[in-house]
Amino acid sequence: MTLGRVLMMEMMKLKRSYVWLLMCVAPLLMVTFGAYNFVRYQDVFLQGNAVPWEKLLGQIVTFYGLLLLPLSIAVMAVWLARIEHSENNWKYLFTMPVNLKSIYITKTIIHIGLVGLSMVILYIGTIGAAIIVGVGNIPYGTTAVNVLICWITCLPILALQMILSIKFPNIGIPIGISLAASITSVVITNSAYGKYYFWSHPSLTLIPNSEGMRNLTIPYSLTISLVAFSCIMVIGYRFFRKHEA
Amino acid sequence: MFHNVLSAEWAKLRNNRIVFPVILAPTLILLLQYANFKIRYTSVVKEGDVPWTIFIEQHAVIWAVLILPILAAVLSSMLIMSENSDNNWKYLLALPIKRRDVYFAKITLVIFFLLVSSLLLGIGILGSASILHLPGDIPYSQLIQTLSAALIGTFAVLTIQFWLSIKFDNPGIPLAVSICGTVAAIFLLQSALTRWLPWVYPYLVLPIRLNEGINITWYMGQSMVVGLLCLIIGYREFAHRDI
Repeated sequence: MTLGRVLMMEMMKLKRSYVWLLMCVAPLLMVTFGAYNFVRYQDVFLQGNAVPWEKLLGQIVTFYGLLLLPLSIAVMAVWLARIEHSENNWKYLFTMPVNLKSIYITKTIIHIGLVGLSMVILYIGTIGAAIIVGVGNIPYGTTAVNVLICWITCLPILALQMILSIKFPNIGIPIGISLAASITSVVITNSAYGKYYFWSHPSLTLIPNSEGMRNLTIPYSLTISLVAFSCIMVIGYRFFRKHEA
Repeated sequence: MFHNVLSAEWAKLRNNRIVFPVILAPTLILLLQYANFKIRYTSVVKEGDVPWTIFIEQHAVIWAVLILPILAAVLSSMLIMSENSDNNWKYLLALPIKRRDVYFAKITLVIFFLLVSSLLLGIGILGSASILHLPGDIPYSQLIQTLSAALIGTFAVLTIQFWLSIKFDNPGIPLAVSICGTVAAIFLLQSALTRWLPWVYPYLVLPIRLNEGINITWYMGQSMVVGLLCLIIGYREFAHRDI
C-alpha cells in the first residue's frame, strides 16, 4: 500500500475518537484564562512603559508552552499508540501488506498535524483575545512566525513521546517522563541552560522578545530541532522494524 | 470476598511497572527542590524565616498542584486499562464476584499507591534535609499534616479520574481532562469565583502561609463530599452498565 492510503486508513481510525478535541480545547483554555487574568490584573501589569500586547501574550503562553503543550503532546502520542496496543492490534496490522515504515511515518505525520492544529487555534485565539481586550497594535506577522517556529521546536519532543508510547503499552512511563521533563523545564527555562533543553524551546520561542528568546536565535532553534527530530526518527524507525508485537 | 478480590487485583500488578510512576513522582520533586535549596538557598530562605517551614512549603506546592492530580489520573488509568484492553471486563464479571468489590478494590489500590508515594516523599524530605544540613528541629507534625492535607485535597480529583477511566476505553480522555484541569488550576486558584472546581482543592487545603485567610477545613470537607459523591455516581454508573 502506498503512504497515502495508509494515511487515509489512520485518519479513518481517528474519525470517531475525540483526539482532535484535546488539541482544540487545550489552547482555548489557556487563551481564556490568560486573557481573564490579564484583564483582572491589568493595573499591575501595565505599570511603567509596558507593552499591553506582550503582557497579554506572556499571560497566555507561559504555562501553555511550559506545561500544557508538552503534556498534551504526550497524551496524544499515548492516544495514537493506544489504538493499536488495545486488542493487540499490532499483530493484525502487521499481517496486512503494509510497509511498517509507512505505519510509523503516518502516525508521526498525524501527530505533527494535530500539534499544528493546536498551534493554529492558539494563534487565532490569541489574536481574537487581543482584539476583544483591546491592546492596541498587534504584530500579526511576528506572532505567526513565532507560532510556526514553536511548532517546529515541538518535533523532537513529539518524536520521543511517540517512541515511548509505542515501546511501552504501559501509559505510566510516557506520561511520567513527560511530566518530569515539563516540570524540570519550568526551572531550566529560567536559567541559562534553556537553550540546550528541548522542553524549554517551545515556551522560549513563544514568549515575547523582551522576556524570552534569550540567546536563542531562530536559525539555531530551527537547526537543533530538525537535527534532533531526524535522529530520533531514525532511531524510532530502526526500533520499530524490530518491534515484536 | 473483598479481600480476595483485592489480592487478585494486587497479583495482576506484578508485571505492570506501576512502581515507576509511584517512585518517579517523589524523586523528581526531591531532586528539583534539593537543587533549588543547594543553589539558591539565600534567595529562597529570607531573614527571619524558619528554613524547615520554607522547605516543606516548597515541596508541598508543586506536589499538590501539579504532581498529585496527574499521578492519581495515571494510576487509575493504569489499573483500569488492563481490563479495558482485550475486553477483560466480560471475563472478570463472569466470575462469582460482585461488581462493587471490583470497583472498590481498584480504587483502594489507587489510594494505597498514592499513600506510598506520599510516604516516600516524606522520607525523602527528611533525607534531603539532612544532606542539606537544614538548621532547627524537624517539625514532624507539620510535615505529616501537609502531606496528608494534600492527599485529602486530591480525593475529589481522584474519584473523578477513576470514574472517567472506567467510563472510557481509551486512556487518552481521562488523561486529557487531567492535564487540562491541572494546568488550568494554576489560573483557577487565583480567583475566588472558580475555587469550587476540584482541581483547585489540593492547593487550597495545604496548611501553608500563602493560604492564610482561606478556610482549609472547609475545602477539605468540600473535597471529601465531592469525592464521595463522584465515587457513588461512578459506582452506580458502573454497576448498571451493560458491559
